[in-house]
Amino acid sequence: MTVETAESHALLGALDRFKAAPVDVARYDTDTATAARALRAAPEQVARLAVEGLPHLVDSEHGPLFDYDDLMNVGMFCGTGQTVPELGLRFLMRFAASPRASWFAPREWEVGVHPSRTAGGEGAEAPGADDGRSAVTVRVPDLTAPGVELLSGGPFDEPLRTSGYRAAIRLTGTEQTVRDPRIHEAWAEVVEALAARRVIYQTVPEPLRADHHRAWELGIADCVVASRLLADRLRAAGLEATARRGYLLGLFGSDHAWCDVVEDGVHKSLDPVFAFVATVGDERGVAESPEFAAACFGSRFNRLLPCRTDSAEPLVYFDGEPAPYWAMAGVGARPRRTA
Amino acid sequence: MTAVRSLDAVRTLIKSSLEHPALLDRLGGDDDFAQAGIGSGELIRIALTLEEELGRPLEDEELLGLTSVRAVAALIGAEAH
Repeated sequence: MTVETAESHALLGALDRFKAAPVDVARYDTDTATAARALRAAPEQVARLAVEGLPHLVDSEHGPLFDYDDLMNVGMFCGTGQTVPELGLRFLMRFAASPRASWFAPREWEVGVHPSRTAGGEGAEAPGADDGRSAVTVRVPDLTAPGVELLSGGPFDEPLRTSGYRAAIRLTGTEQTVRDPRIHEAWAEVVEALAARRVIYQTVPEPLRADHHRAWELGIADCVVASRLLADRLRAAGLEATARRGYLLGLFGSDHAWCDVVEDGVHKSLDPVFAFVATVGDERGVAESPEFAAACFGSRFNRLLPCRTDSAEPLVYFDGEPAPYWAMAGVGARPRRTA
Repeated sequence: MTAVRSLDAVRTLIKSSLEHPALLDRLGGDDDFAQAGIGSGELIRIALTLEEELGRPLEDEELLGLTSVRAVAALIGAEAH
């Protein structure tokens, strides 16, 4: 494969911009070659990360082993604009720059959820591949959620199903605003903490997502942490609120979480991470969009597919345990083909 | 801007973005990338390669259309005229 590598010192610059996974939740299982592929870097650059302080274990056979979430954060914060995490965010958020009406109009999608078995964010295996390794379980679309209509595929009677699935789904967004001052207050608290960088928006390991209050206190959050925290604050204020999790559909399908609150009997979506990114823009190529940030406070978008969760639990499991970050490489999405 | 016109040239361009380039040899022009097992990281690289080829960012609808060799060819071909 021909790829240009990051500048020699670019990756090192990331080390001061995020917080490494706490040792008790980190999984040091990614070798240098895999890390180099994921970061579009040379193995020597990855080795330098270890020397300069990126946490790792040294394995006698495989050399330094890194936590994959830490590596994704190196990619996200290195500032080259060329790593998979940077590019993924840039491409997935490009819909925010599309005309406003396109955020909400009914849209039909073909979705394929066939989690990758290969680390490095690369090389998802062919759907149906059965190599005798870990059993894969995935969460199914939530067909009871507002704006979600199954066109083909399924059945999705149980929240989880083995292996993957393919489905055609119509998603209909809606433009809504929020009135209740309690929701305004909780929303501002979470979004402003991110915008002021008091809490760093970064990849968070799944075990720490499950302890979202600890993550927030450590000063780190991703979409799951922020949405769970927001839902907690809203419930504490007496509102009916749930952290949701599903797929952001676009060039591919990406694991994403947001919050659902009920106001005047109407379900409204609150997306603190989208709002944060659209508020401050992003040096990785996401444009500022106050209009889109405002829409994240109450409106429902036509490319967020909610799955059946109680509180934004993981979407994919290997042998009953949350699957690694890289499993998401095998989630595909595309506008539905019409005859 | 470098216009890529032939389907073979398009395939070469896509191959350069794949972790396992031989995968593309098994794909017909209309076969779906995701169904064939091309992962998100590779799709990202295909999109980046196209942006570099075209010399401009792809719009959201263009990104959504990057689903097959022929779709990529159409995008570049349309740009070349």
